Amino acid sequence: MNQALQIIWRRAIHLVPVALAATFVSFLLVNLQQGNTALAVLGTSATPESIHQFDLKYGLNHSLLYRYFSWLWQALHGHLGYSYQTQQSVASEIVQRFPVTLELICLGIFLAVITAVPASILAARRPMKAADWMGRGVAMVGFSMPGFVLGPLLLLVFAVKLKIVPSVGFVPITQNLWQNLRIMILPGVALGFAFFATYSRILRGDMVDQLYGEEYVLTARSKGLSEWRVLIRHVFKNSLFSFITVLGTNVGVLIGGAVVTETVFNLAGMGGLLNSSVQQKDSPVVQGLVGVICLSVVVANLLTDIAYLLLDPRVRYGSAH
Amino acid sequence: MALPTEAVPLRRFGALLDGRARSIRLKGNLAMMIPLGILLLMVLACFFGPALFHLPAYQDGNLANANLGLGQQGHLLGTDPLGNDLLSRSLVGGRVSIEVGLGATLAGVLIGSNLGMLAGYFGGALDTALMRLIDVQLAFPALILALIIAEYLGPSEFHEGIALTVLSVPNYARLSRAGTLRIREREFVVATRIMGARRRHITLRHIYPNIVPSLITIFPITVSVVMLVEATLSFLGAGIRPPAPSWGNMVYAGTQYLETAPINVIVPGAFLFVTVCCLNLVGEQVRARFGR
Repeated sequence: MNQALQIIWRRAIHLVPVALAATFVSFLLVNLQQGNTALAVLGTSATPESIHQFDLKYGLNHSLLYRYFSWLWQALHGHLGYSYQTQQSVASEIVQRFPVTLELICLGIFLAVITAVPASILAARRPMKAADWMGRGVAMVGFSMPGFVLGPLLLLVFAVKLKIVPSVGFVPITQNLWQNLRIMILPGVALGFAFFATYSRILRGDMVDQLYGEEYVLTARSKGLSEWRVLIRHVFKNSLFSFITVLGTNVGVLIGGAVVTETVFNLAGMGGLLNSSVQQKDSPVVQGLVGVICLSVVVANLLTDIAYLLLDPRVRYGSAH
Repeated sequence: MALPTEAVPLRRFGALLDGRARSIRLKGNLAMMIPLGILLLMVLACFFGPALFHLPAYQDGNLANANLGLGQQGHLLGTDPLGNDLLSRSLVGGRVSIEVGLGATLAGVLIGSNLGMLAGYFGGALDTALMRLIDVQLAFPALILALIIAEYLGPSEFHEGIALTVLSVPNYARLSRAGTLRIREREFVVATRIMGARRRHITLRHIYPNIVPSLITIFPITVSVVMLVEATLSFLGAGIRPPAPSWGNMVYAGTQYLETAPINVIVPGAFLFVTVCCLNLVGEQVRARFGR
């Protein structure tokens, strides 16, 4: 267990410079066109006077490096500055919108996992047979169908034609769980479908590799275990490791998908906010959101490592690495 | 939209070039040839179709012709709410996807393979810097990075291409670095080094030709990912802006009329889906055939 802690600690320290560099790169990206910021925000009515005022108010008269470090220092204290457009505190806007995105992503992963696991077990049981080919076909559609096409199609079928679910009227999860799920289910499906494709193919491939390549499968079979038991209790359990790695490294892609899904379904989450503030060149909001997103990705990667170590019995019993 | 994480060596690549080529190419190749054929048709249709078949103009349509149904008044797939022909808009819009998809991936292969080879061969500070940059890129969701670059550079096809090149370089750099590390210690490289060859000669004549074929195996899949991201950027408003058509911005315009005229989403969406699906099918075949 001690070794496990050491590994986690080393990984955590390794991730600090990564997170710092990621925020620095994004800071450079959104602030490079320094001179135009005030003009872009104030529009054609800008006078030299008002531009100067604007620069003073947002500290744009300082050097880029100074501004980054003061942003970082403030960010560490939970202050992310104020929006150019709405004058609102960026931190409070993000706090308001974070739960929606979190729910969307969790729902997407949940739907993808509960469908991908049975699909891949069925496919691995008889490779290159009906279930496998069907899974492959559906996965190919998932790989090739962008979320912004799937989303409107789902809305068209289930909200406009069949009228099973409402298309507008978001209800927070804390108010009414059922109404909230009714509105969130389509975005969840639209986001989760592509991940179903990835998860089911990776899990299926790993399980087939083990079924035909590992000797413990032969041992389990010769003990007289049923084929299902071998598949689920032995092979699937081992495949969970590669699956967890994929889940963890996919968090960034999921957040990218959330930007599209929230735009399609008009959800007031972080992704929708990111897209609208990128378009308005609202740099403090973009910078704050990117900081939170990078941090989430880094934390998710760390959690993956921890889960991996906790699940691996060789680490648990202190005999590994 | 994850990029493939491993390249596979092209063991049977040589067979394509020598006498056995014909039998390998023709035997049971429908799974490869059908999607490849559709892709070729798609490219030809997008670039030459509108002129060859005298299709109606793709912009400046007459509002009197708005929302025509399939096949009405010579509009094969109908018209959009502005009276423009949907088929010609989709074909012209496809040019952007194809140009950016191929262009950004090619640029990614060229820049990435050279960077990765230099880092892998020379090691040291360059290698460390490159690997750290790739770490940073991993913490940065690809779509969000591309969105910020494209939007802050200003929406245009060229800027979109830059954003997507940034996206595809690290993957190729990582793969070509790994390939270089494998090949660097092989006998033929060591022998060349002992013979006194210059580093430029070793890297360009001995290492580069050996890592590039394995990068080609993931080329089709990278193109499909880049095309999807390109369409997504256009959908989000960071790519090609209307009235110029692209599959992504056509779908976005179509979502405004989802209840009354869903065909505006379905037509460009179907073009995008078919193209990306064929690229994925070809990519799967290429990897299965020439890989491992």
